[in-house]
Formats: sequence, C-alpha cells, structure tokens
Amino acid sequence: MLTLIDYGSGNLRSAEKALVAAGARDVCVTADPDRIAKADQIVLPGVGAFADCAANLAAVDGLREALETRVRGEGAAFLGICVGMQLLADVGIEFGSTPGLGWIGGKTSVIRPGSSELKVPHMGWNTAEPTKNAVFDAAWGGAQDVYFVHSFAFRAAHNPDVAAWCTYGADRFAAAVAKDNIMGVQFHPEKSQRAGLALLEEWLKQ
Amino acid sequence: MTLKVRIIPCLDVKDGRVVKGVQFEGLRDAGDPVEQAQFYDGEGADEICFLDISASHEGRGTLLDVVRRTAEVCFTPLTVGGGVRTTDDFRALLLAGADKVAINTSAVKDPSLVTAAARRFGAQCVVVAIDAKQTGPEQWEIFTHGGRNATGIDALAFAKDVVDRGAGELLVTSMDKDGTKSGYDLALTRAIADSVSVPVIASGGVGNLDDLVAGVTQGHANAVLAASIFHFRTHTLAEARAALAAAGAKVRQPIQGNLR
Repeated sequence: MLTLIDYGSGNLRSAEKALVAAGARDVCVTADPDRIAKADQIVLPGVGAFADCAANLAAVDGLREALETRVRGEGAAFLGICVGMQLLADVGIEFGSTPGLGWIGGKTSVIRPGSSELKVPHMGWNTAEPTKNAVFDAAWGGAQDVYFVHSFAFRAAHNPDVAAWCTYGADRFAAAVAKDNIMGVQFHPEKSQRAGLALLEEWLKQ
Repeated sequence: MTLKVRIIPCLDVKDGRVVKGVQFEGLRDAGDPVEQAQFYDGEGADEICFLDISASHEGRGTLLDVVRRTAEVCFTPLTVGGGVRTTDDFRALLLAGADKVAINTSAVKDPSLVTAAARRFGAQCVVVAIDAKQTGPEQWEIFTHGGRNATGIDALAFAKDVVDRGAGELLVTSMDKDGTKSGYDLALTRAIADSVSVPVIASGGVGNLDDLVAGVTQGHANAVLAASIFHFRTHTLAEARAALAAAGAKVRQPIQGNLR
C-alpha cells in the first residue's frame, strides 16, 4: 500500500492522479498514523512555506513518530515532493528558522540567481541533472527538463546525498536528494508530463 | 542550463465549455476544455491557462468540475482565473487541481486579498492578472470586468504594489491589443517586467510567431500566452518553440535523450 500524506499542505489531487498514472495501485490519502505504520511506500507532498508545512506536520498527533518508525526504523520507501523534500533537511531558513525532519543533512535557504533579470520564485521548466542514482538512471538515462516552483532551495550538507542538480543563474541547488530508502525532489513530478511520470514509475518499482 | 521561456495556451471557458470555438481534428468534443487541455498536454505545453468567463454561479460550479477532470488526465501546470473573490475560492480551485489561481477585479477592489492568499497558500500560486489600456506615452491604466471598467489606477504602480503584497506572478494583458492579432503591447510588458522581481506573462494580441518572440526579446516576459494561433492551428507549440529557440531564447524540449 502507498500512502499519500494528507496534512493540509499539498496539491494532493494532482499527486494522487500522477501516482496512479505512473502505476501505483492502492493509493491511500491519509494522515492516520496507523495507516502509515503499515505503508510500504510513503509520499509527502508540500506547497507553501516551510514553517507552515512543518507546523501542519507537527499538528497531526502521532504522525511524526509514525513516519520516524516506518521510514527510518523499518525502511519503507519515502518520497518528498517540493516542500515535502525540503522538510527532510535539518532546518529551514525562511522568515526565521524552523527545524525539519533532519533525515538528510542540510538546510534550506533563499535562491540567489545573482541577476535582477532572473526572477524569484524560480518558476517554470529547468533542467534536472542526475548524479549517480538508480531511480533517475532507469527513468531518464540523462538530464530532463522538469517543472519547479519555489523560492527556497535545499542546501545538502553532503554532496553524495544530492541525486540531481539544478542551476539557476549563479545558484546551484539540489533538484533531488536521496539516501538509502529516502528520496526527495524539489520539482513537481506530478506536473512534469512524461519526464515526471517516468520518474514516479521507476520510484514505485524499486 | 537555465529556466526556460514558458509557452502557455489559454482557453476561455464559459459554463464549462470552451468559447471562441476551437477546430481541432480528432477531438470527440471540441467544446470540452478537458479534451483541449489534454491535447496541449500531449503537445508539451509548458503550462495551461483556463480563464472562466461565466457570469452565473452555476457556471462557476461547472468550472470546478472542469478543473477536477483536467487534473485527472493532464500532468501540466494549470492556472485558473475568473470570478475569484475570496481565499475560499482559491482553496476550492487548488483542491480541485489548479496549481495557480489568477485574480483580477478582486485584486483591484481589495488588494488585501493578494496578501491573504499568499499567506495561506504561498506566493507561488497567486497570479495577479493586470488588464491595462494605454492612456499616454509610457502610461497605462488598469481596467476591470473584462476591460469594461476604468479604475483610474496606474498599471505600473499597481503591479509594484501587488508584488509587494505577495503576488508570485503577473499576467499582463493589453486591452488595446487583445484580439487584434497585431502583437503584444511590448512597451507595457517591458515596463512591468523590468520593474518587478516576479515572473511576468505577456498576453493579448498574438497573431504570429514573431509576436511570441518579441514578447520575450523586447517585452522581457518570462512566459508568453496565446489563444487563437494555437486553437486554430495557425501554429503548433513545436513551431512556437522553434521560433523562440531560433531567436536565442531558451525553450524546453519536452522529451530528451532516451526517455520514451
């Protein structure tokens, strides 16, 4: 069973439809810790501000603990999308600093493309360049253009945790992070047409 | 590698049906916005925009259904605008599957809606649609209600104000040019694009591919929106991408390498 976490911070409908189109069967949209305790695959979406998403996650009784146990303890496959990926960091620096899950070392900070012609939010299609990662290799076999919408980016503490890079002007940040059973993508696979669906398909298969 | 210029087909929807009839071959129902969105999704549109021009409450209810059905079959970012008055209207559209919501008249009447929506849903999904008419050299005025009502508000000052209030993107439409097929109002687009920190979508007046190119090279827009040249198959999205690329703009190749 795949659970898509409904904690009031994501575009659930789009993510659910894309997961189904990519081959997921038995998608359960829930925030119920008992369901999460049994999930084989867990997807955490997230839209908006880091602090709001972190607060929403903390507001559901037992959710954080269930995720820790199931993902970190028992090794269920985890995919964070957009702010759901950023929440993997130790801390989010966005209008003050807010602790994240701390599953992948790093922090988030504002994007600095270094030119007034390059607008923030970083909104639209940009290239994700995978490093060495089995899911990206199987899905794409190279770089692909995917859809981003964000003003803050994940700064990984350890480069080997970066599964794909994105460059925007003078800034270069993680388009994806991965470590063991945990993956996060800054872009929106559910809005990235065939490139996005191909990635979800391979993630679901692993 | 950098951000690509976005090409955005726009569909006007009234009571759940596409207006300004589109003549695609092979569609089961050419008036169904969902089928048309799916067509553009397949052509590799960078985003799709629905503008609802329904006058009635029932018509708006139908729009939510259209957005829901679109989100089931399209994996392309979707902006929806028209008749949005409250943050609850935002929420209903976002839950139905819209990624961004455009507001026009309501942002002029009550600019605090921009701030409220940006706080609640994030600036990235708040698009302010600016409909402007030229009133003097390098001077434009905001119009509302589909261009019928003058407001006396300076377009450039308004653009800066709504960005300060939290708008994540501006959709700039010239009411002088809309429907004329004589190209965007490039001076208007450039004046706004050069004075705000957020992305700007050029809209209104596209008649050919050169107009799209000029929107980027002379209008400094980050995205170009058009309706009839795509709907009537004057040009395909692939032709639009090629024209922009030939002019030196960075565009997306929908599929690269060995992605099947």
